[in-house]
Amino acid sequence: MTAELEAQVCVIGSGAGGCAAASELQRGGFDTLLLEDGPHHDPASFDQRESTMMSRLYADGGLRTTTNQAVGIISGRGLGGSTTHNTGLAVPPPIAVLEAWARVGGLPAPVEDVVGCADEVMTRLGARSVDADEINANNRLLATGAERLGVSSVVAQHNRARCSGCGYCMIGCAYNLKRNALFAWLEDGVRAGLAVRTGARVEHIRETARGCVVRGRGFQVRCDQVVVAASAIGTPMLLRNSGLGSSRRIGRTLRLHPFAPVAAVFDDPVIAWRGVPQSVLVTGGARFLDGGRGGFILMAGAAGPGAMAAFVSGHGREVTDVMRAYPRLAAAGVLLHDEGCGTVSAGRGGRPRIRYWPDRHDRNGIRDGIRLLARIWLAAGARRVLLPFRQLREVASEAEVSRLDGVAFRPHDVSLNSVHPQGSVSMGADPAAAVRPDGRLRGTRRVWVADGSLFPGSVGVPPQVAIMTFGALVGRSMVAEMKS
Amino acid sequence: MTPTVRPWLERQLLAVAATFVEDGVGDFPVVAATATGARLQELLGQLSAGEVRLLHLGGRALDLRAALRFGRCFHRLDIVRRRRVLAALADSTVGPFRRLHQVLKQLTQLAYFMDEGTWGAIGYDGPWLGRIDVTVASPPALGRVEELQ
Repeated sequence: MTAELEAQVCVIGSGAGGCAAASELQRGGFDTLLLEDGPHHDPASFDQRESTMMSRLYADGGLRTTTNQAVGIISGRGLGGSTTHNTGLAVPPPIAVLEAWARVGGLPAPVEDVVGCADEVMTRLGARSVDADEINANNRLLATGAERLGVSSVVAQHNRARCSGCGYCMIGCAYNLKRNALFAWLEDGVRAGLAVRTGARVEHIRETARGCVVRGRGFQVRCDQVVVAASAIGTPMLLRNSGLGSSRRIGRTLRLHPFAPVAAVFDDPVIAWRGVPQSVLVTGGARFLDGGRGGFILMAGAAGPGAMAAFVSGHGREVTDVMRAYPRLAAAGVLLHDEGCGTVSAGRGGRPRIRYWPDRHDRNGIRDGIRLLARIWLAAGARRVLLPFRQLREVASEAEVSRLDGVAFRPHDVSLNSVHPQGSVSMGADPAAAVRPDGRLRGTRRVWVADGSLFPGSVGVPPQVAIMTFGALVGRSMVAEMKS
Repeated sequence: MTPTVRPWLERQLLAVAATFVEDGVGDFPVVAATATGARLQELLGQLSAGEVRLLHLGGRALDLRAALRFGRCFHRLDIVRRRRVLAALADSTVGPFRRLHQVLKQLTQLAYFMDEGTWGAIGYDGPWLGRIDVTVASPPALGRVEELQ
């Protein structure tokens, strides 16, 4: 039996962008229905174990990769999307990036309004600077090494109320202390009458002269307007499956914000898995913050024992030696402001087909970042630095760092991950861009996009705040238009 | 639908896991004494049917390489020879072999070390729940969220 539902607006996807847009629309006076493919997670059931939480919180059980398995991709699944499992970093989008996006008409509002909205988002998230006593040894070592090399770093802001310091943010806060999208947006929306349905996998959207029909497994929604906020992977798949949009660029401008892990073995215990996972951002290599081209941020990247082991190179004793040093391991990584693009389309069985490999400029950027991070760990006192390259697994001195230059950088020769896919249905004034600057999908009248897909490039910083800002502004833009 | 994993592939993945982690050395438990097999099953259950098909194909390729080089299928080799077969995959100039090596390595090391039985050997003290008191805050007030399926 097919459940028949009706609403003025149907929002597909309940991550950072979808929750913000849905809340704005409902509070703006429009009867809104929010659909989420995954479940409504009960934090009381979060057990702080990778073996159970990865399959529950991550799309494809955390095993999603590019089609050639060269880049691992973590995306959230369930109400709140990736805000349920992120580390709670609340970083506003950099002004220089916003200005660059404004020049191509890639913002849903003037720069000053976007900045104002990002400030509102920070308030909703309860963002605050991490206290000095909350910076764990892993992050302290990162800051120390950077300082000794004269490389700038900042203490990040977070959306956590009073943190217990358990360190399990990335597999869900069992204590409800992270102010994710459910706290920041959904509570307000629900209070205003927003309807939320989980287990609602949308397969097709049809736009007609009088409205839209959203069809999924066992349900159908009739509505006036549709907002697609199904993530930078899900949104282009759904649009292309539905034959919506006039731009050929849909799904062809994917940025992955690749993250290359670099760990280090110290003499003393680090216990990187405890405490606030990411509290220090090394910004010395982030050229994009000053309007330059490319660059990277270095940030901590501690992981549970399973995920950490998956990164360790070598065989047999090489692996067990590193894992035996797990309590003395510090871990961080290079988050690249990537400029090259990949593609995403629908594969068999509803799985995404993602193609991405950094271009030469981006590969050089990652290599520069790895080189700097290795030097930072050594400056902080590391005995040896574990690299993500198969052909050069570790270095133990400054002199050895120069060996990085000649190391092969092909798929499967280097460990790369992504937790911030974005930009796959980008916004722009150019008629070839997929989405108009107000958030409406080109070639449609009633279909809007409100998630990280919209970014005209990679934002360079952890994108939670930027995605919520774009989601809220598209929601407001719709309210203004529908009221007029 | 959960893709079917054939028993020979399970056996082979356990042999791969034992090779990657050098189980049984020092205080590292042997793979068979841990829940690595069950963890691998859970992980494979997350893969698409196409990915599982590819993994079966990769498993056959691994056996073929082992047979050509040492005259026996992979899981029947001693650990030194198994390691040579895996190292040859990693160093191959053929991209799909390096890809197979990476997939096998990540799956098996993830499955072995996410298991509680290995945590003592690496000094990981495990979850706080049930050990450390933390005041739980109220969940977001969302009322009753209806599930469609």
